[in-house]
Amino acid sequence: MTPADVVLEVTDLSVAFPTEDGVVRAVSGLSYQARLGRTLAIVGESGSGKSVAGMAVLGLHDPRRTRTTGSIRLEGEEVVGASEWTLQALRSTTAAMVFQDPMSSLHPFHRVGRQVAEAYLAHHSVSKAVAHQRAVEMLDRVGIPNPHRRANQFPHEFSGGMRQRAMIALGLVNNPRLLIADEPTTALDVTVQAQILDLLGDLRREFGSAVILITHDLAVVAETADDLLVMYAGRAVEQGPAREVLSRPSHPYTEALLRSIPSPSEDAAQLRPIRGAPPSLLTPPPGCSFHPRCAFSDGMGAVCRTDAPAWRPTPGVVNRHLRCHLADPVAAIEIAGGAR
Amino acid sequence: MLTYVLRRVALGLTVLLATLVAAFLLFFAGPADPAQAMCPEQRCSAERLVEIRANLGLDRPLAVQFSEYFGGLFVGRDFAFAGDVVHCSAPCLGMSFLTKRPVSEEIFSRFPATVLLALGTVIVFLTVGVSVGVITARARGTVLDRLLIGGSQVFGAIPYYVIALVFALYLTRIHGILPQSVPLSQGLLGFLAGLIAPCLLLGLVYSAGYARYTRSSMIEALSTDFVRTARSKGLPEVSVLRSHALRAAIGPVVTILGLDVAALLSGTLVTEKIFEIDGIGKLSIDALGRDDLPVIMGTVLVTAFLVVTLNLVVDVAYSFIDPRVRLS
Amino acid sequence: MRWTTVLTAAGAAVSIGLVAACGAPTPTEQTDVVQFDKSSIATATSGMLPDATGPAPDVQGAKRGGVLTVPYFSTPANFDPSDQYFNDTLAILGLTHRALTAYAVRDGQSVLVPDLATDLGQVSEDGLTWTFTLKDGITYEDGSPVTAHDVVFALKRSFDKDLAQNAPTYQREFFKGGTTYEGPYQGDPKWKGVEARNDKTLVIRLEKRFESLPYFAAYPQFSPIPQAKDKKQDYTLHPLATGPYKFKTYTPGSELVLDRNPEWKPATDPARNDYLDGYHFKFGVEDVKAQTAILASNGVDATSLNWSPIDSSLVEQIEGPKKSQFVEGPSSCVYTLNLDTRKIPLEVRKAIAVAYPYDSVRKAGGQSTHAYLPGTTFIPPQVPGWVDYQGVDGFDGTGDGNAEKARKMLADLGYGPTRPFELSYYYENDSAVAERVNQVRKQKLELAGFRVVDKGVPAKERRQLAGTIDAPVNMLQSPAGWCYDWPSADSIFPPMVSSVAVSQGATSWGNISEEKIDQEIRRIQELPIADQGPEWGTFDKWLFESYLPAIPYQYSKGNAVFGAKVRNVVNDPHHGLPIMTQIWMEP
Repeated sequence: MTPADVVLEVTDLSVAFPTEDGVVRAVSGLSYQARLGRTLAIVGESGSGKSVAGMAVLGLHDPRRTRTTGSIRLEGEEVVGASEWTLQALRSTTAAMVFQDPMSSLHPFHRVGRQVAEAYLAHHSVSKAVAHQRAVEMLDRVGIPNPHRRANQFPHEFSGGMRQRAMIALGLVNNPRLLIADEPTTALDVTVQAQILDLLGDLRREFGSAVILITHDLAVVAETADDLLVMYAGRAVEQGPAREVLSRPSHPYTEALLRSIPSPSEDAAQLRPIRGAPPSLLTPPPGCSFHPRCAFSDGMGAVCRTDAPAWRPTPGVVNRHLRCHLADPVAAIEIAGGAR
Repeated sequence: MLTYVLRRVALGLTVLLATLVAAFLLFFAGPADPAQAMCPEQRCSAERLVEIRANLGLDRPLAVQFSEYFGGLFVGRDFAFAGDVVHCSAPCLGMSFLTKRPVSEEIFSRFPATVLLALGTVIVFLTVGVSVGVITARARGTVLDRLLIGGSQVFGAIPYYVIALVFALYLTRIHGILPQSVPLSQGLLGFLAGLIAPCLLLGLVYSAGYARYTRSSMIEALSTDFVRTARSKGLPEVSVLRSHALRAAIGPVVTILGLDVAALLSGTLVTEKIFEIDGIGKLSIDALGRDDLPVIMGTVLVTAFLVVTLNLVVDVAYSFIDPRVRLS
Repeated sequence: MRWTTVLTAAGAAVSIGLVAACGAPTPTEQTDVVQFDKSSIATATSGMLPDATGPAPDVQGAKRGGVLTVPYFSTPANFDPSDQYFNDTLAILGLTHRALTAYAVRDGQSVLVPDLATDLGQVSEDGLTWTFTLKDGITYEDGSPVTAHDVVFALKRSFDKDLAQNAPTYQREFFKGGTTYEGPYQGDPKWKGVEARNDKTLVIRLEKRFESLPYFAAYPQFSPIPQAKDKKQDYTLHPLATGPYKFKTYTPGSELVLDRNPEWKPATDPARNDYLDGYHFKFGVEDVKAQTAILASNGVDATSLNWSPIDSSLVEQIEGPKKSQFVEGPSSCVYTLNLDTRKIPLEVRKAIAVAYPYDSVRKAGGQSTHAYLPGTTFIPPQVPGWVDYQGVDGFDGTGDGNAEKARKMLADLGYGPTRPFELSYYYENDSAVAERVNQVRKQKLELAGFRVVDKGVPAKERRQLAGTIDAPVNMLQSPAGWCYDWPSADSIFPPMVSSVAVSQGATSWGNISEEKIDQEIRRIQELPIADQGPEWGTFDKWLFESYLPAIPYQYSKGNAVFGAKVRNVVNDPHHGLPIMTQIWMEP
């Protein structure tokens, strides 16, 4: 029985793409929850499977080209294997998505107002005029000045930041219980990024919805996330309250990510990238998929190379999960951090 | 927008002029001899041939012939005939060597038939071709896709003359499944009924190409981010296909449509000939066979004019389809 | 004054060239020619019957009613009566426009009869003045009366270079002052070459004797045109009818529909029946499609007719199951291999006649046996006075060329492998078929010991070059044949072998210029038309044996394919087209 504020329950989700060269396992065994009023950040490099997982929540993968197993429950409704009919009802109303590149994600030939109104019209039987009014309201809500005029313009007449606001308006027009924002600030410059993040936060508070923020940028996470889920090579490797995970990471990958963030006080010679490259999702390495790049795997003997670690509660802390063979990971990482 | 249109009009006129000169050189200076068509070898002596050629004004210097023709386009021309002076008003396309009737009369009296044939064909290939393109794009890789695309390739490989002849013979004459052609002068309804067969045939042949263009354009459109956004809004699939994917994919189709309409309006030679439709295509092909130079020149000019104009129309239309295109 | 007399047919009266493909169906691969008996055609046609009166005799079993549809390949330039020369328009105008004389069918023969005139013309003793009197009660389709003034006007109009650009020009040659008269609009208003004495009588004055004038008077140029209603170049859109049919609708370049002319009086017309209710001619139609559909005879195709040469793909059908829907018969053209007598000695010319591979060339050119009849004379068999002869031993218009015999003939003249006789000609090199034909021809001629210099040129240029008298070749120049304008050899020999052409710098058969030939032609031309026939027959043989200016090797045939309901399609041997007014239809 899930608590009433759990909007999304993902259990053992796997998404695989059969290709000519083999099966690409983009997501494997992913489990997490999203709660009303809270922001969950899903963090990982490119290829970690975070976007694929996000799109799977709305059933946006082509069922003919994707093998999805596991369970995704949106407000109790099962998404995996659901009919197109069911999915269409859920989309935009129960859960909505804001995509990464608003220039390519908005239709270049339709006016912005119409694109927002369209989402509203699809789920409410009202007149076009009423839907248009609602669209203008939403554009206003997301902070676009002159919303009436802007609603009649085309996406290419908007600046990057305004486009992203419009995408957000589109996502929120039907008051969804869950908003998934896939890299909402990646295509924008820094000043605008902050505005967008603020906006997302305001709206979350106002609408009370759950927000999943998919990003590779830990700085963004630090600002806005309540909960944090770290993904690597299609798997969740660490999960927990954001502040705690960031201050006391329990997975070597999380630690490596944190240390690789350059700070303004250091100079370029002291950049600390994570050595190695993300593994191929076609032929993942045996054992723990991070072990080739892990600073700790040498000292662990053969186990990291042979056994894939299970998803278990993090030892020594509460409300956190981890996929690693380290016996006392938090401590191990702290000690190692100190030594470095 | 206005300056753009004006510039394009000026360019179009240049193209027309070049076409006129090229066509004139090709036909009037080339090996064509309309006098031979009127004076066959077994019935007509060599002096007669010379006489006819002189009567047609073909032994005068080329420059003189050209300047008369060119001038006629703008200010009209006078022809001496049986003691009368016959005025051919601008744009004067000359008099047919064979029938002595004004070329413009011959061309424009046949326009309605060609236009209706073109219209019918466009309706068929837009509905069939685009639909098949959308269906096969959506059903990409399935048996249906392979069947439809494979079938259209086979269809397109057979020489058109053969298909048209077989189609016309078996469907309209021998088995009488579809009505035969009836001249427009005998009533619009009968004429339209007679157009069913050729429009169907020509439309299906064009459909093969349009299905392919639409299919590849649609496959691209279906993989775009904005189509993904449309789906994420919970829109019904039909809406996604029509208002989002097809809307984006239709651009190249419109461009080709412009060219094809121009070609159709200049008359489809083989179709009109085989289905006995008295249109501009049949006029052109008959004139070509008999070296009726003024008629040939007239049809060439009219065709060039249509192509240039329709290109301009397509460009302007494009700016309405894709708002990112600004004509400046 | 003298009456023209009947040219009696010596032979048995046989039906005019009505021949279906004979015998068992012949596979198209065979080179055997389907022969219809030349002698059965010969003397079957065209005497003159000056006493003939209307109405035309009935066709047995004929029913009234029906509209005949005629789709075919070419497109007539116009239907102006002053401008007609081609056989198809002559056949069509023959339905609507009566002239002074006309061709009719009597006892299975084609004869010349008076049409609008009361007889075939009265001529003065010196042969230079002809008088025609019109019948009473002839009216146009609009009820207005036909007068001699109208015939005079029409004849004057036939001199206008614009209105009569494509028509025959005998009137210019023979009518008094005809070479300079320029017609009623631009010419001398006082010209008296043709004159109406009163409403019923007209007089034609000649420069020289023109014994064939009655034949010429069957041309539509002799059909009356009321001056007040002349519309010059627009007259063609609806030329006033005097025949059993009139123009209903005419779309230039596409179709012509004829319906009945209520003003036509059968009692005055010895030449025409009017079984059909109307005709629908469609121009510019693909022959192969029309013929295939007509043979299948569904719907309107069952009441259609096509008069183009039968397409080779359908030969099997018309030789087999669809025999009854096909008719072929003689037509008016003779085809010749032109030889330059100034450059090739007579005996060598005879060797060429023996060496030439007639059938191989026909086969290479894809000619169906339904399109030609092999022959050996300049005059086609259906012309009165025709004599069948073989002018050179070993030449009969068929075969593959007798190389051995030719070589021997050449050897006797001193030509051999070390000293070959050179033949040169132009041929069309821009089509695969023409190339094939030339290969065959060249091979066989070389086999016979000639040296062949063939010059390939594009088709359009060939005719130009072939008409040049100083061209550096010695055979196959223009004219490659000739189609007679009426069934008398005076419409063949004078244009083809008199010295006039050469003296004016134009080519002719053999490019010949012989006083003896000119004299003989002049002599025969001045004989009464009834006597000319046999004289021309003798002339033909003499010309061949003594001069051989060209080798006549085949005659053309007319073909007609018609639907299952069409009846009594009879070939007109002088035009190679069906006699339209003899056709009737099952309902």
